[in-house]
Amino acid sequence: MSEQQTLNRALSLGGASAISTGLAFAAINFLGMAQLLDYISGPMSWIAVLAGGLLILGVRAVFSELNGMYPTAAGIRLWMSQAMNDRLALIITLTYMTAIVLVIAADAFIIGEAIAYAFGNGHLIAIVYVAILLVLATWMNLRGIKLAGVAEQIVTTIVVVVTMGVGVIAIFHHGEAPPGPVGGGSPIQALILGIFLYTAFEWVTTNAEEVVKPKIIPKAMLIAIIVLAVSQTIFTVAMGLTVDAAGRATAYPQLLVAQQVMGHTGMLVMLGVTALTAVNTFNGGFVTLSRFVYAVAREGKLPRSLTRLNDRAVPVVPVWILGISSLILAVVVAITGSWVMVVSLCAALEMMIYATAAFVVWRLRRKQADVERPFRLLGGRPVAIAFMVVFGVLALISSVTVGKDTSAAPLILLAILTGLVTLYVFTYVPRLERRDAEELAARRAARAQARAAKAQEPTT
Amino acid sequence: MSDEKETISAAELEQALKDYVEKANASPRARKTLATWSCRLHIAAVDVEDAAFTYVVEQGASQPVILGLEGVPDLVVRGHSFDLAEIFWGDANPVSNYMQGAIKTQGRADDVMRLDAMAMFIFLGQ
Repeated sequence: MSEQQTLNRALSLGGASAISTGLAFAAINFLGMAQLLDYISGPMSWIAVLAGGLLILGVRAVFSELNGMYPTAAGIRLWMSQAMNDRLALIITLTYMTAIVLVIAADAFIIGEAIAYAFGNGHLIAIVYVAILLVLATWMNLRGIKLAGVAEQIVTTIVVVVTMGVGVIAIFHHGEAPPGPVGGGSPIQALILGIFLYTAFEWVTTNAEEVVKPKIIPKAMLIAIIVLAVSQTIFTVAMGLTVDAAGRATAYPQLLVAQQVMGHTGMLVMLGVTALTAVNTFNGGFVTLSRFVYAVAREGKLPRSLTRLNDRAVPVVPVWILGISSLILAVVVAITGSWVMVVSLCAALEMMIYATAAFVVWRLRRKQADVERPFRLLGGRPVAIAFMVVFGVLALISSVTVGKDTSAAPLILLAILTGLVTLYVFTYVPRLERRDAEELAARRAARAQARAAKAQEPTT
Repeated sequence: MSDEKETISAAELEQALKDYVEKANASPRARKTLATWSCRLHIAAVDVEDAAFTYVVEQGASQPVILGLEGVPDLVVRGHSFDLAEIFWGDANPVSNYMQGAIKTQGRADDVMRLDAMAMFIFLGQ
């Protein structure tokens, strides 16, 4: 929106930066750091994290251009449908949304395992903790309880500062460093995981309508990337210097870092930080996904039952579906121990959406050349296409890798998921659209008749 | 949304908004569910001069429509007069128009969501 206007409750640069940082800094990031250290030794791991950050700066430029053109929470639906067939846009969007379910499930699992470790409980009890966390998150969402903006900033600040503090202490007070990766490193895998540590920072673009200056969102993303780069570089190096391969293979390597250098108290502090990361993830993830599902259902692309609201104006069915699917997924991950696969899936989905966004920039530069762009990707179409290729390749690599092994499992899962979504979009959506179009036509005809009759009434 | 949209006059848009406010206040579900919602909306048609209104909701109760833009808004809604009128007539829903880019908003997504909820309670009797 080009016109500037003052707003009550406008989002500040600090608030937007905290949202961007908080969304990216999930508990699953600690597992990403641990996996990254399987490919590159601790003291050198900063290279992978910073290299990931450099590529993410390109992603930020892509999203800044699109967000400038479509500064709305519906941006992803809008810019995709402008650049490609609406059915294809819907398939990509709905598939991408599963990343949020995966992250929520993974975070619940990690916290459950971390609590169980901290209090010496078994695996089964960890699953109970996971269930309690997700039931609590679902209940809070159904009650319409949300973290207020200031609280979100405080939570994110605590997470970042304490993580950096523990990391710095570990770097300066570590014992003998564990050996580096066995069997040689893999720069590409390390880079993918380096990028993974920043993913979801771009979700702050859904807050574009809450700012009064369009440049706040690009600036906030930049600040978030810098904060994430510094804090996660420190902690990754610290993890590489303190935790061996066996420790990094657990679901709570961050606790082990703190425990090594600060004892039991440090471990409990890190447990608190892990729990706080989930506050942001649950808060952002539940609200974003349930409201998005509601909006797509209101748009007539998903069943109407998904628009049912409770007495707190919360879309009940999407929240229940999200809570139950996250719980099932988290329990499956806990039983099968397949959290490494979740990292691969999330990374693949994020790289896919980055490649898609770059494609959209490339396409819209020609298709909508005259549309105002407050922020432009430097280098234009050639750079956009280069980003598309790079992230497309990285998505493919992520989807055929689980930990250090080559495996088609993530790709097969993604193919099944995309297949189901495609089937839905091509068989069920046309029916919904037909029904909506008929209803709208009937309403318009009745309205036109009523207005015509009113126009013919003699004026008194 | 039609390809060639009809322009709705400021007077007709105002009447549509007044009818909407009346229906909102008459809907027990809207009053109950939105009882904690207070919001000052600025609504403006981009294609009709003087078609700008202030609509205030206080604790779920819709206040009389004010001509012109008054005070600092929580939510700004802009769009073609026809798209805005269709929302107030109940022919189209706010979120659908929003998702398709027909209307543009500035403010919190929560407020857009509640505005849509209100429309749903009024017209679909949910």
